[in-house]
Amino acid sequence: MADLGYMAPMGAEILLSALAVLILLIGLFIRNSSLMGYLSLAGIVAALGMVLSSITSPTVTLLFDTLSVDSLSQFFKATFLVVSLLVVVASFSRYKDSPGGMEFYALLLLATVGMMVVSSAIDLITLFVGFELASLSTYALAAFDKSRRNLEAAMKYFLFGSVSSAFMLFGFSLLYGMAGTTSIPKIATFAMADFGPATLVAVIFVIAGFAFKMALVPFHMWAPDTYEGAPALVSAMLAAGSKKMGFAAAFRVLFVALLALRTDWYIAFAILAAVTMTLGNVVAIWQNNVRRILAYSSIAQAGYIAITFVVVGAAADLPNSAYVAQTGIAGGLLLILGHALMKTGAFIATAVVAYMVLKDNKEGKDNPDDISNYAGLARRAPITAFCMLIFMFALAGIPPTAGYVGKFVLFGSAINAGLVWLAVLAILNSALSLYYYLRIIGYMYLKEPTGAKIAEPRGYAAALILTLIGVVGIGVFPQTFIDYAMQAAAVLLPH
Amino acid sequence: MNEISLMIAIPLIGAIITFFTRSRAQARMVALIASIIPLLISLQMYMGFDKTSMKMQFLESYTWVPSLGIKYTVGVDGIGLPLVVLSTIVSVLVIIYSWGEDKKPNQFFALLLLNEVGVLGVFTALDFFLFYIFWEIVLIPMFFLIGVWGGPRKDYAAIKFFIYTHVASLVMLLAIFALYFTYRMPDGSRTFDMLTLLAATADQTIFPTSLLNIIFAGLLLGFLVKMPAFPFHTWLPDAHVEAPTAGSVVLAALLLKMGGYGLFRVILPILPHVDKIFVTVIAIIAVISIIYGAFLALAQKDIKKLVAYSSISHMGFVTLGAVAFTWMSIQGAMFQQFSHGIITCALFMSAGTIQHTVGTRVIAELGGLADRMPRFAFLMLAAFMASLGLPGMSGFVAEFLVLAGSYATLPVYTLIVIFTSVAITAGYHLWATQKVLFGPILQKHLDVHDAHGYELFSMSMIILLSLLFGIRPSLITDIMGVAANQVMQPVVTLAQMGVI
Amino acid sequence: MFSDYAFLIVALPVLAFVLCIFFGWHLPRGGGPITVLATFGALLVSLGIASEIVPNNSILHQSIPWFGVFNVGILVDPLALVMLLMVTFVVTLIHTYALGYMNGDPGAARYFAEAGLFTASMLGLIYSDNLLQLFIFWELVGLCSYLLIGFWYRKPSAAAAAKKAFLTTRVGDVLFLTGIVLLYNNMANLNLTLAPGEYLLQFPVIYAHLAQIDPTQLTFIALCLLGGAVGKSGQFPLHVWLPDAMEGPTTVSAMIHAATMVTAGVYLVARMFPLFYAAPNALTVVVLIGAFTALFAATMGLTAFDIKRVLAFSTVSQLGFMMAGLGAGAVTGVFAVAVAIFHLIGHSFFKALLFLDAGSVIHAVGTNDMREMGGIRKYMKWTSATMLIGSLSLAGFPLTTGFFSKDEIIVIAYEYGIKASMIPYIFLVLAATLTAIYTFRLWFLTFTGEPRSDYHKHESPAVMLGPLVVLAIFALLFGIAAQGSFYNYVGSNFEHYDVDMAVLAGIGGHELEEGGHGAAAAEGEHGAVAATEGEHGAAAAEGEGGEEAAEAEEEGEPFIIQILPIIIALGGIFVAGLFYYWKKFSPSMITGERDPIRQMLLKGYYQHEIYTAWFAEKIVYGIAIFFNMIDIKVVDGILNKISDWTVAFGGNLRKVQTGVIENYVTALVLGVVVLVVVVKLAMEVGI
Repeated sequence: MADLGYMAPMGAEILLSALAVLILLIGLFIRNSSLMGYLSLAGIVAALGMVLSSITSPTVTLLFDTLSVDSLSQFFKATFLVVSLLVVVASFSRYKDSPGGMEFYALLLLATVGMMVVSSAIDLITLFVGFELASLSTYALAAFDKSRRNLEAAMKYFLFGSVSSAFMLFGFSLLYGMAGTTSIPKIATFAMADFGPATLVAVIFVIAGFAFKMALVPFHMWAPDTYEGAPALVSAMLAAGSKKMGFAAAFRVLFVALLALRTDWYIAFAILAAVTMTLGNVVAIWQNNVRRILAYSSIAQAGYIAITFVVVGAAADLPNSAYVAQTGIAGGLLLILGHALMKTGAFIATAVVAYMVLKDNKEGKDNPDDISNYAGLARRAPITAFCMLIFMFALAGIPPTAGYVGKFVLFGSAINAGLVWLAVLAILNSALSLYYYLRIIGYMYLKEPTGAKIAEPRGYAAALILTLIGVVGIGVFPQTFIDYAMQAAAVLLPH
Repeated sequence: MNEISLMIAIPLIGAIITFFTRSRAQARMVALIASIIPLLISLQMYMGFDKTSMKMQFLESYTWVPSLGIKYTVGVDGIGLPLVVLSTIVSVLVIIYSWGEDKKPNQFFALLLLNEVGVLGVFTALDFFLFYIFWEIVLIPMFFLIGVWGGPRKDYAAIKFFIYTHVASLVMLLAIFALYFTYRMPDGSRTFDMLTLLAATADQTIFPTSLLNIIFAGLLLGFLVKMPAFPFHTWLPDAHVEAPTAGSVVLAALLLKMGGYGLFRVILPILPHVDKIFVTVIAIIAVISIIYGAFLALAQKDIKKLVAYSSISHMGFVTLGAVAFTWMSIQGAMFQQFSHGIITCALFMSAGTIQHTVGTRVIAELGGLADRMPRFAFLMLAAFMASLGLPGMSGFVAEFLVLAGSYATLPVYTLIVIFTSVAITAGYHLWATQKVLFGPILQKHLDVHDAHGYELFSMSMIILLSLLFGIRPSLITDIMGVAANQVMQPVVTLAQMGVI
Repeated sequence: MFSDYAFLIVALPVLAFVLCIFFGWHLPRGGGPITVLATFGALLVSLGIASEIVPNNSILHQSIPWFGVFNVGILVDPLALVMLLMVTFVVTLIHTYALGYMNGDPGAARYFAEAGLFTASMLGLIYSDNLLQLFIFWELVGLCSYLLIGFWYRKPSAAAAAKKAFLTTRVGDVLFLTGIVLLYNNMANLNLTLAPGEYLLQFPVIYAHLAQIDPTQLTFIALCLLGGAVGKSGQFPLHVWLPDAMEGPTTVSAMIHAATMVTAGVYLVARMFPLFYAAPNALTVVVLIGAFTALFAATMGLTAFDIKRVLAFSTVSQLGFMMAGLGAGAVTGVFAVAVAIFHLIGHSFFKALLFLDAGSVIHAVGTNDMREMGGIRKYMKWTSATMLIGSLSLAGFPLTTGFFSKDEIIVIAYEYGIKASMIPYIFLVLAATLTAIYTFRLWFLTFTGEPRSDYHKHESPAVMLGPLVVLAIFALLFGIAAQGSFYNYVGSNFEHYDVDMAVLAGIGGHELEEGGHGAAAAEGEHGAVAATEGEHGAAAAEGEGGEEAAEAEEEGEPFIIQILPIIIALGGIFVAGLFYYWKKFSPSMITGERDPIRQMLLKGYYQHEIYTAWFAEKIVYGIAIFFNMIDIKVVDGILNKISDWTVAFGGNLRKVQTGVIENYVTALVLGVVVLVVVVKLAMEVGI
């Protein structure tokens, strides 16, 4: 093992894993979480640098074709890194002087690494390993503040997470049994259909496994409880990060390995998508807990993103299938990126509110996320309120924001793929979603404040503003991002 | 950066500055300046505008999202220019009218400026992507104007306004997608360029009628809701009743015009290539809107709601003139857009002034105001006369052109409109003015004072404008005449114009 | 050179309007003198123009483009000229009178401003050279009448009357507008190649191309225009606003009823006479409406006690005469226009006189109710004398203006009767009788007998009496002085245009009678004219010899027909005397108080009940309320239902999220099963 040069493309992962270990080691001697914060911040920035530098470089496969560093993987990695970057920045305020700070950062970094591995994995085994790495650290994170709600949330999350892993693993094993290989590209070359029912079972279980992570109805049950219960920043990580990991994996497996079977899965996804977005939105209307609203909204968003599968599936029959599929995937990727940003920002905002409620510890204390606490937020915490405002509009798909660009390309491709009914449904849904987004905005801007103005913690504020810049930036200058997304999408297309 | 971009950018910057001003004095002053500059620019554009040409003028085009064929393209022709001028004029006057606003003035004026940005963008954008962005941006300031400064049921009204019009916009967006993905440029790439796509709709081989019908319906819905036309109008009265005066003014004078603009820019060029049934449908919608709006206005107890329904009725003339598709009727419809944009300001300002001087808008509780507020009464009477289409003021010219023009192609509808609406329209206007201004002054209103100077100023400006364009319509009918010809001819793309 | 300043005729009063509205408050008498001078200036300019175009028998036509295919222009032909002179003259007098009448009224400035605008609109209306411009001024006249009738806006009755006037005339305007739209489209369909300076709606152009338009269309157009005229000129059934128009200051009533406004309708028909002439059956409608209105209004004049109301009804009735006269043109051709306009102008003199007198009386007595007057003659010599002259003229007492003008209308109505139907003639005769009766009922009740209440007994100031005297002179002598030359001049009006009345007569289906006068005239210089114009060669013939020709005219009729008007006038006055002067009888002797007919007359044929109470408030407002209900319940209701359903749907789904693991697991298993089924099906169907 003299020369590790060939591992360079995975430098980011290696760096972060090393950093995680390092933090734990230092933590034994110095209990200063701010230091850890800065360390991990530096590490993430560096990693992000590496990823971005190689985002357009040609595909490299390593470790015996189990990992592939390509535009797609880098796109996802960048997304994950940005999310954890924001979370870290935010947690400067959250875990400033709490003893457990270092574990938090360590786990965060490991979770990130896990997700990054998944997004690079082109082998079922590595994919599963990455999955587990990410999941395990997020289980721990979900319970991090050790409050009752934390533990319950973590409990559910863990339960369902493991079930989903089981499903996935079962599906994988069947695939392996049939194809005799775990390499995703190789599986693609086998004619699965010949195996009849077994294929069916395999496909279903794989889909179900991913559906858990993507929180598609009816595999979404854990999401609202967990997002509500877990620490705000962790919820951000879950909604923005690990959920997207599910998509990363699903894209690889379905579009590459199981493309031949698309007729089997794309109808399923059509239904999943339709049901998910609708249910997510109509239920969100009824929530009074902002984090639950966000939870359901991200379920709905998952529904939108799931349209990608339908588009790709439907595309193959079309003359210009390559173009349709590519725009479809690109749209999905853009929405994933955009949603990651918006959701992270939104959850950080809830953290600020929770902090605010904690400060003026009044009866709202026991449920800091109740929408009533957002009354007059525009006056009490202007920066937070304004950022939240933009995130809400972005989630609703109002231009010019990241959310709009994503939906624009994705729904457009759906029309292009002839899925008018799905596009119409999606659009009616995003109109419906306006209702609860506007409700939050209404509380923040149209209602009178219940307390005094607070000084917004710097960390939160910084994170929020960064997110805001991202969300609006993508909306106003979408070109670069669209190009990356298209390139990334091209990776998945049969060559 | 050329005229148009400048004209859009300055209010945007102004809005940001205004937002961070500390005092009302600063806020309104910044806002005033930031709205006067665009006015001057637009007037200078009007002066420099080649009235005889059908070309896009003051054109700017920069690539923006090449991979999707999206460009930042803005420019004006005879269709857009009058509305641009209208927007800048109204923006200034509405800011002056709101001079006394003391609730969060910095945000209030900032939102008004933001509104101007969106509206100007819509009237100048020549790329569907850009167009749609501005189209949606307009919703946000209006949402807050209603939601923050609005009346008792402001939340309901604001959300209803936002969602209702947003749904329509989304349907329109789908139609735009369909255009976008169906048409390919000679080099195989796709484009959001408005004129190119519209020109392409003429080609049966690219857009078979069956497909075009659906696209057309989608676009049409988007615009009719904005107009608003029966039966998609119910968001308007609620929005108006709750909105603050300035909000109502901008809403009625500018936002509704976006719908009408859409008819001329997008709908009419496609109209000849879709099923003829659409003509009948639109004509019926127009006629119902006119009559229905007039009757509803007659039934209202709240003077502001009366004005709101009168808007529906008046915008119906735009639809009628447009769908009648004769040179004169289209010209009239365009003129009606402009004229109604001006006059309705004065109407809503009247309602607003009554609201805050007397404290109620319920017609039954008003009376004899002319006694205590003579100057205001004079202006309000003038405004209502203008609105009922009194000759010598702009409204008459518009409605006459529409009716005289529409008769050629839609005789029956036109006659129905004349017979039912003209007298009723006069009816509710006179009824309202008589109840509000005349008769003995009520005891409880004895201490009412006349309106503020800035209110009277902006109202009298509007009356003067209405007179000006009633007496010298040629100031803009020349432009609109050319524009009407242009609308009736096949669309000429920027490339064919040789301007790009 | 005056012709170049024709625009001043409108510009000056407008200027007066502007000055008074802005500065009148600071000027003595509300800046009234400005308005008077402005109107007088207009009079001078009109005279100047007359001095230029009358001698060389030319017309004045100026036109500039306005916008699109429309223009603004000035057209002074004989018809317009006589109207201009009359309006400027009478209105100058009325304004002068108003200087005294409105003196001390806080709103004087507003009054003189609005009066100025009113004058300007009317004058503009008269010499417009195209129909659209005419319509614009027409509407402005309506606006000003609205403002002036509602001048004392604090009085609810005044505000209501103003609104009623505007709305009722507006109903007519709807038809007028329709007419213009129809006419424009018909003209446009001819695809004429217009010479520069020519526009579709210009009267000369319209006249020239009437013959090419489809006759049925022409009839529609004519009837629509007539609708406008009916509204403005207070003809049945749109006359209801006129009596209420009394709510304004008396000078306003004088303006509206005598010189301006109501005459506009008659003028419109006269102006568009060739069109009516060419349109089959149009003139028949005109004559019937006119004759019926004349009688109908006269009956109501009998019972009213408000001195101004009586005069108002008499106005309606007299306008009916004019309309009937125009309608008779179906037989007599353009000559009818001359007759009708002659009556219009004569009427404007004595009606203005009567109103100003009434105003003078009211000014002194302080009430409109004749039951509280009586014996005023003793205290207001000048007023009663001038009013007597006015009444005689209105009643058609021999050799007064009214006698000549009204008599001539009755005569041509008789000629019409010979050809078509006698109904109009009979109606007019009856109306004339009643006119004489109610006129003198008014005069006797007011000025003779004993005071029936305690009123201030003083004569009005000189500034008010002056105009009365002048008007009295005209009311007395205008007819005898001007009739012949007037008929000649106005009768030649349409010879200035490229229009052949004979052809139009052919289209309109009026058979040309080559009767006595036609032949007689043929010998005269106007032979050519007579040949083309057939019957109304009479006009020309009379023009020739003025008075004698008029005599020759009447020799055409039976003796009884000739002297009937005189009998009517004298008889009517005598009857009135029996009732109200010698008090031989009293109305209640004929009709008991409870008599339904009397009640009906007193209630003005229950028009208020029908128009306002029933039609406006029940029907129209009812529809409005109904639509409002629809809008809330249905159009918006459906929307709200949909949103309610959606929300409720979400509410039910929400219940699934119990937070209990077991339920989650079941859901998940179900999910998998569903997926299996779906995918299985998909494979089977092979989608």
